[in-house]
Parts: sequence; C-alpha cells; structure tokens
Amino acid sequence: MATVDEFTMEVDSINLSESTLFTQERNDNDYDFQMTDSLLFAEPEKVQEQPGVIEEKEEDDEEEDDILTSHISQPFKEVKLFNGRTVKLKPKTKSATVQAPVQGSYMDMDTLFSKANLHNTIKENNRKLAEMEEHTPVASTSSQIWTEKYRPTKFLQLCSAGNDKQYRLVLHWLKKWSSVVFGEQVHDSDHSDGLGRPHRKILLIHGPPGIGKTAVVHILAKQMGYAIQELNAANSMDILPQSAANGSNPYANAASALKLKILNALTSNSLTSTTSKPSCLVIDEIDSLANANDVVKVLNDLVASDQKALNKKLKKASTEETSKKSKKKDVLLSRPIICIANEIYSNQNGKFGPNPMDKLRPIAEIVPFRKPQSGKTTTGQKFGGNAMKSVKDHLMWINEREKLGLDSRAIGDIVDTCDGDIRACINYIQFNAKKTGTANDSSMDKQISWYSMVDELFRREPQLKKDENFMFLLDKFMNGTGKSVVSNSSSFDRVIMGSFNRYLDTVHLQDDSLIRPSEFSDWLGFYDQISSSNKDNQYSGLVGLKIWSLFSQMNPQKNGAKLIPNARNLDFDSFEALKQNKATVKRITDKLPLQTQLSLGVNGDSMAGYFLPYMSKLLAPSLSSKIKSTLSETEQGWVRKIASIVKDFNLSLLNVKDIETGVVSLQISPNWDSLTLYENEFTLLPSATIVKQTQIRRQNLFPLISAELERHEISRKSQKRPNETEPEESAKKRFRGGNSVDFFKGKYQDMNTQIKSETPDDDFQPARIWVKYHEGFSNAVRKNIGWKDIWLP
Amino acid sequence: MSLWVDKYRPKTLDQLLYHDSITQSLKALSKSGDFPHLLIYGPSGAGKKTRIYCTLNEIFGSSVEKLKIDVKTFVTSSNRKLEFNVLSSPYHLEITPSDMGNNDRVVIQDLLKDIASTEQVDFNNQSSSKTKHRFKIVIINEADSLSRDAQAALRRTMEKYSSNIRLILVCNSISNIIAPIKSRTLLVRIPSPSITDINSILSNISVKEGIKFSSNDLEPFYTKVSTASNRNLRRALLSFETLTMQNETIKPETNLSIINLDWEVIIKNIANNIKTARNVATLAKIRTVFYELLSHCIPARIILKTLLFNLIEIIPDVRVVQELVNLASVFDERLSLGQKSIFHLEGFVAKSMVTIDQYN
Repeated sequence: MATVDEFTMEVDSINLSESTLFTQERNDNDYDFQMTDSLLFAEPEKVQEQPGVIEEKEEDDEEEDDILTSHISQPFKEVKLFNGRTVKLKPKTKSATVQAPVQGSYMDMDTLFSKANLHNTIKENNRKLAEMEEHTPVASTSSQIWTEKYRPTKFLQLCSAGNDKQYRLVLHWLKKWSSVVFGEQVHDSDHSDGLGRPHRKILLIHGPPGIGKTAVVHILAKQMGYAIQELNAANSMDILPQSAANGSNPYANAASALKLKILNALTSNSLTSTTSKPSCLVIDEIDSLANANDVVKVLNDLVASDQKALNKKLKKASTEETSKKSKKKDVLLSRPIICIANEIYSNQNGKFGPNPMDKLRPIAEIVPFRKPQSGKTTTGQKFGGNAMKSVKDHLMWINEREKLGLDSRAIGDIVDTCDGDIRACINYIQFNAKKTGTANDSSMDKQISWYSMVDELFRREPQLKKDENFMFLLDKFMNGTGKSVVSNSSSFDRVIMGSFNRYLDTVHLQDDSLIRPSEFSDWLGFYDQISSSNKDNQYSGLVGLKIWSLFSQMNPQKNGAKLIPNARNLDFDSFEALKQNKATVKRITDKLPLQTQLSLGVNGDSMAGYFLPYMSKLLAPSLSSKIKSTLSETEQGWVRKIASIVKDFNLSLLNVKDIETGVVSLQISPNWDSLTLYENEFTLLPSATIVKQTQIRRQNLFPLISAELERHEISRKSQKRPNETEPEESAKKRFRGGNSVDFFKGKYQDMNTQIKSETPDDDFQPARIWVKYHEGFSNAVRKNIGWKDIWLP
Repeated sequence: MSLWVDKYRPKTLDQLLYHDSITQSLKALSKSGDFPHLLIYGPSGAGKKTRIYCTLNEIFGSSVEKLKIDVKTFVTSSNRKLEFNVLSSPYHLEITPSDMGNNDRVVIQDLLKDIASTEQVDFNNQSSSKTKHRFKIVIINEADSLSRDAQAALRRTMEKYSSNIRLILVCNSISNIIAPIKSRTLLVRIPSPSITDINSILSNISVKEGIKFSSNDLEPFYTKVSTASNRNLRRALLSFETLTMQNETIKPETNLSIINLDWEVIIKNIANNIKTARNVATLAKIRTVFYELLSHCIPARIILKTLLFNLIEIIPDVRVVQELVNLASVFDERLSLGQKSIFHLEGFVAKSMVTIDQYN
C-alpha cells in the first residue's frame, strides 16, 4: 500500500505543477471549475506533458461537462460555461521557457533529459494507476452502500418510476416560493397568495418506501437554490430526553422546544457554509415521528399565525408600499416546508387514537407518490409499463456501471421481487453482486425468488419419479436454495398467495373436480393458523410441498386464459379498498349527533352492514318534480325529513366533477357510495343502473333540500331576534335544554329559594362550600351545599 | 331526532314495550337505589343499550341524557400518547375499549382509578334522601373485545372501588368474558324481540306517522319486514322507514325487494350457485365476489353465517345440512384464529360443494 500512496502523491504533485500552467481569472470562486481534456488538446504541444492531468480529468468527465464552447483569443483563452459565465485562461509565463528550444536550435541537454525522465515517470505512474484501478474497484466501492453511492444527485439522474407528474407538482410548488425567497417576479398570481407564495404553505408528500420521495425533495430543493434543513425521526427526538429528565411530564416543554427548533430551522441561514442559501425545512418520516402530534400542532400554529400576519401585511401594504421588510414580530412564513410521510390516511400499526395526519392534511398540499406497478386492469388494459421500464433502466445503468452482467430478465425479476421498491432493488443487486463476485460471469446463481418458487411448485420434472422429485424438492426447501424463501415468513406468504391465485386455473385445466381444492383449504387453514401465531413456524414449508403434491403437473401452461384475470392484484386491491371504506365509516360516525350514535349502537359492522345501505335508499326517494308546490303532501314530508337528516348528520350536498371523465355528478359528502355499490354478476341490478337512478332522483331532490335548508336557516335567525329582547324568557328556556353549567345555575336558584322557604323565621345564613369545577370533565361540579349535606347521610 | 330509531327510542323503563320481566327486574333494581355490577349481553338490535339508559334515567333522572364527548389523553408505558373518546354525562361515562387497541389494560386501570378516587357527591335527589347515589356508572361497550389483561385488571378494581363506581359491561356474547368477571356481575341476557313484538312496534309507529297502506291486512307485511331484518329491531325500523320513504302508499304484497340489502342478495345468489353449478369456474367467480364483499366492510364471519343460512334454506337433505353446519363451525373457528379470511371462505365453499356432490 505504501507504494500506491507514493504514486498517488507523485501524481498529485504533477497535477499541481501542471495546473499552474494556467492561471484562472474568475469573478466568482465558489463555483468549482474543472478543465476538460478537450480544452487541453486545443494546444497540441502541451499534450504530451500532461498525461497525468488527462488521466485525472477523465474520471470527472461524467460529472462535469460544463464547457460549451471554447475559442481562443490570444493571449487569453475564453471559455464559456453552461451557467453563462465566461472564464479567461491565460498561459503562464513558464511557457516561455518551454518555447525556448523551439525558437533556437540550441538545446539544453539537461533540460531535455529531465523532461524525458519526467515523461517516463508520468507514463509509469499512469500505467500503475490504471492497474490499480483495475484491481480495486470493489475495494473502493464496497465500503459504500450502493443506495448511497447511486443516490441521485441531479434531476436527470432520478429514476422517475411513473412519478413524473408528481415531480412537476413539487417543482411547481417550490417555484412559487421564489418570489418571496429570491425576490423573483410573481408569475401567476391566480394560484398564489398576496405575496406570491402558494396558498398552502406546507407540502405533504406521501407514498410507499423506497421510491425516491426524499431524494426528489432534496434534489429539487437544491436545484431551486435552497439549503436543506432536515428534521427526521432521529433528530426530532433530541428534545425529549432532557425535558423528561427534569419534569414529571415529558411533554410539557417538548412542544415549545420543538416550535423553537422549527422556527430556528426556518429563519436561520447556515453560517458554517460559505454560501448563503436560504433554508428549506424538510420534515422526513413525519408519520413515524415519536412526537408527530406536537410537530403537526406546531405546523398548524405556524400556518395559522402566518395567515394572520399575511392579512395584516396585505392591509399594510395598501397603505405604505415601501415597508416590504417584515418586522420581527411578524411570523410570516418565508421558507418552504416539506413533509414526507409513508401513510397519511390510516393509523400505523400499534398507534391508536386520532391520527395526527388528520390535522395536517387540511393545511397541506398533498402529493401522492406511487410505486411502479404494472399489470392489467379488469378491463384488460395494460398500465404502468413506462414506470416499470424506468426502474429497470435505472437498475440496468447501475448494472453496467458495476459490471454485474445481469440481463434484463434478471433485473425484471428483481424488480418484481422487491415490489417496485427501488432502494430494495439496489440493495438486492449489491447483495447478489457481492455474493457472486468471485464467479464474475454471467451465469449468476441468483437467489430463488418467490414467484419462481411458485412456478416450481406447479411443475413436475418429467425425468424423475414422483418420490425422487418430492425428495428433491424437500431437500431444496429445507436445506437448499429454497430455504431462504421458506424461512422468511413474508416471502413465503407471497408463495402461498401466488399458489392460491393459481391453483384454481390448474385444477380447472386438469380434472375440474373440487376434491383437491377442498383438501387444499385444510392446508391453507393450517398455514394461516401457524403463521398468525407469531412462533417460529418451521413447518410452514410443508404447505408448499403439499401444493406440489396436489397440483403439480408436467407441462404447466403459463399463459392460458385465466379464470380470474387480475388474480394477482385482487388481494391488495381489496385490502386498499377496505382501508378506505373503513376511514369513510369512521368519518360518518364521527359526524353523527350523539343521540343518534347511541341509538345506532356505533360499531363499524352495523354501520356498513345495514345503516349506510338504508341511508342511501332513504335519502333518494323518487320525487315527481323539482317544484315544491307540485309535490304531494307525503313528498313534501319526505323533503322536510331529508333536509333535517342532512342537517343533523352534518352532511353536505356537492356537485362533483370527475376529473378524468368530466362527468358531473351529485354527491352527498362524505360520500359512502363505494360502500353500498357492488359490481358483480350476483347483484340484482348492475351498479351503473343504480348510480344512474340515484343521480336522476338526486337531480330532483337536491335543489329542494337546499331550499329547505335555507328556509330553516332564515327561520332560525328570525327566531333568535325576539329572544334577545326578552332575556329572562330565554334564560328560563335555557334552563331546560341548555348545557350543564346553566343547569346548575338554575339548580342554584332553586336551592336558594328552597332554603329560604325552609328557614324563613331565623336570620340563618346557609354556609357555602365550593367544590372545584373541572372544566371539560364532569366529575365534579360547582354548587352550593348545606352543612347537613356533608355530614348527614 | 330525525330517524325513527332516534325518535321512537324509549327514554324511560315505562316506555319499553317488550321483555316485560326484564323490565320489571330492572325497575326493582333501580328502586332499591343501589345495584350491582351488570353484565348485559344479547344480539345486536335487541335493545341492550336502550335498557341501560332507561335504567339510568330511572335512577338519576333525565340529566343522564345530557351527553358530551371528552377526549382523554393517556401516556402509555412506552411514552406514547394515546387519545380516545369518552362519552359522559354527570352520572356516568361510557368507553369503547376497541379504540385503545393493545393498551386497553392501562387505560382502563387509570381511568377507573381516576373516577373511583373522586367520590361522587350527589345532590340531585335532595328531596328523597333515601336514594343517595354516591357512585358513578361506567359503561364498557364491546366488553368481549377487552383483552385478557384488561379483564384481569378489571376484576380487582371492581371489588376495590365498588363503593364509588358501578360497571355495566355490554357485549354480544359472554364466551370471551373470563369467569371471575362473570361471577362478580349480575348477568342480564336481553334476547332479540320476537316477531310479534316487532310487529306491534311497527304498527304503533305506522299509526303515529300516519302511513298509508293499500290494504288493511298488515300483519303479514310486518312479519316480512321483521323476518327480513333477522329480528334486529334497529334494522327493522330502518328498513321500514326506508320503505315509507320510497313509496307514498305501501302495497304490502309487492314491493319489498328494497329492504333486502345488496350484500345479502349477493350471498343468496352465491348459495344458489353453489347448489346448481358446482365446478372450479364457479369457485373462481365466487372468490372475486368474496373479495368485493370483504372490501365493503362486511365481516368474514357474517358472510360465512349468512351463506350457511342461505344454503340451509335451499338444501332439502337433512344429512347435507348437518354436514354443512359442521363445516361452517370448523371454518368459523379458522376465521377467528387466522387472518386470511379469503382462504377460509373459499375453503368453505369448496368443501360444501364436495359435500353436496357426495350426497347426490
């Protein structure tokens, strides 16, 4: 290693001496400028002296291609860079000595000799350097995880994975901040607030892990000229321990400390770096922050105070135009905040109570990222091909850089295994590349993946006898390559799911009898039971063998017509739909008045099972006309009733336009149609018919109901007015139906009169004892009580 | 108050219309001024909650109707904040442990201790000083979903703080309740109302609402409504109200299809398919439908149960029915033990197809 170091040092010294050949005149020195060999070759007589430099530069070529044109104007060399700057290069005076031999015939032997020596050394160095590079690429890269090594640093390096539209949204949103942060011109005032900022001050990006959410935010923010201040699950916790140490309630100061921290992050420009870039706060993994509730609360406060400050400022701006600089006390947001989350709609496992994201969603601009998926919709259209391709291209590029020799099919397999998670894919490739690094050829012994295992389970080797084949598989599962799949519960789960999606087709093509499916169901029951009891389930692999013995065949047909066209996605789709529907049910339940919640016996089953279906029918009676006067008595009754239901249940009537189809439909919000509509051949009416029917009915109904609601509003207002003139009357009314405080006030009066009537003759003043009244919780109340109430039973 | 389930919900014990013996004993209980911990169980839509609130009303007066929702916060052992809703009145509070997930033990302990440590001072029944209620009522909904730990935590609390709190546990079946709790509570079973009970309630309402019928013989019509709703009174009321909202005058003979729910119709059709077309293609078709039902928040066990009852209806052979019931119980167990409902639903269909084949 010592020799290697020497060599590199020598090369470095040469580089230094060579680079002094040019002095660089520049206005701005924080931009790193690198020469390319094209520039160097422009002066052919120097080429020979600079091989070391060339070698060095070649490594950097990929990153720095900034020089667009270079034209020589003596004695300076002007070079135009991509960013528009011109850099002048002039030859150093040393060149005069070099040129000296050319001018005359006299040659200095010593100079020539030393030059030749130098030349040789450089050559030697280059050779060794090249050798070294050949030998050590693994050594130099293996210290780095590839996901870090190939973390994209430029927008063009990003692997879009079908999220191009989302990228544009993020960029667009960030661009709007430019007017405030950099003082640029406001471009479209329609979609921004008074200061040219976006309406929503917080950007919330969510999507499954490993698709480049964090990467894209970092790159785009950098590209727009921001320095990133990151708050993530690791460093947001800093605040907690110290406050927990000195206080009984660890959450007491946490919120204020956090607020300070976030404000600091937003306002401070980093002093350490020489560049004075404005900061952009990125809150990563906001859904898994330990103090997510506090963070969201602080964000809410920020946005609220910002709104106030904005209103104030806009008013001020109309009076004095010059006071553009914000004062200290103004908490106007001047830097973008970006939040990144995985799951913003439902609670994560193990977390209960209201989701903090519920409070964040209304104030944030939401950009959903999707993982690349390809497949077929129920109608047979292919989708997501491009997204998949971009991931594969990205992996292919890494593959070429690392000389792994994977073919495109293998990469497709990897993407499938990792389920579109790019980070997982890269990790997977690295792992495989290391493992096969010694073999170093194309025939990789790659990890058996779950779908190839499924294939195997459905195939019987024609050469082998059944017993032998079984033993072969058993060995493979329990000891061989299959073990990693079998022992990993999540991948084996996929094997089982894959087989479950496939066995019906196989049976259908073989004998179409139901004996084997019914036998299989017992094994599935067995598998489900042992896999859901969290113990080490070393026997679950046996289910795979059973699948083989039940369904394997000599020539499995892979591409025949399938009984269920989209079997692969069905499980996931239905799971997603279930999550969404549950959220809807919860939303509706929360909106119901308390009494109704009680009488409905709030639980999800009865809500979805019969309450909501009946409600959809109940809220859509067929009315004969749109005009109220022409309706019959009962129909008017219906309208009144529906109006009161809509009001009580806090529903709203909406006119929604579908973005994709452009069809306008009338909806009740929250919309639970997805819960009550079914689309299969066992229903009475196809769902499209039902939708059409309800739409027609609603067209008659909605105007009537809105009119009815308006009428209610007006009559309520007119009722209010007389009440104000007769306060005593209203006080009495409140006593019956008002809140508990009024109730006790009323009781207080009753008691007083009662006590007075009991003790009319003496001058006895009743002693008063006050009981603390807990606001918001009713376990103790304020009320005056007599002596005997306490001591006498 | 707009829906009938709200409007015609009894507020006092006197307004209750069926299960007179239970009502009488509840009345006697509330007269005595004190009552033991209660465990009230029975199918949904039988009127468990209604009866509890009527009893509370009888004891404390109408102020138990003044409900509000508080959000309580707890810090769990792992320093995680936990929020859940408590429905409360001055005299009682009501919690649903499924809101709290795995932490229900901590929450129940803390909450009950909190309530129990503050003695209730009752001044409402000033006049009749005999019935002093120095205790607060805690209603625990879905008590069968309480974890074992939480139930164990309850049993000590119930004795220790019995001077200050009374528990009312509400659940559908008591099979998940541990024996010590059962022995500490007074068990009250509230069965579903009988068909005639529901019929009389429906006819009462239709008189009060002035609903027009095309004929006078209404008993068969009411019977249809109440059987279609599986003797679930809540559902019967909702479906009856839906009917009246769809038709100006109800013709008892014809239009009843509207009260059949879509998912029940679907399951019925599945049952018919199992009987008629027993092959793998049907099985595949049924699988997609099962997925759809599951995604519509219909619990797998309800699907299985409904399917079984539909099969029993259309299959004449007693031996087959026996087999099917046997199968269903097996798969019901698997459903509650496992996680992948679709495996077991499909398994049941496959096995029942085979069974029907065997006896043909």
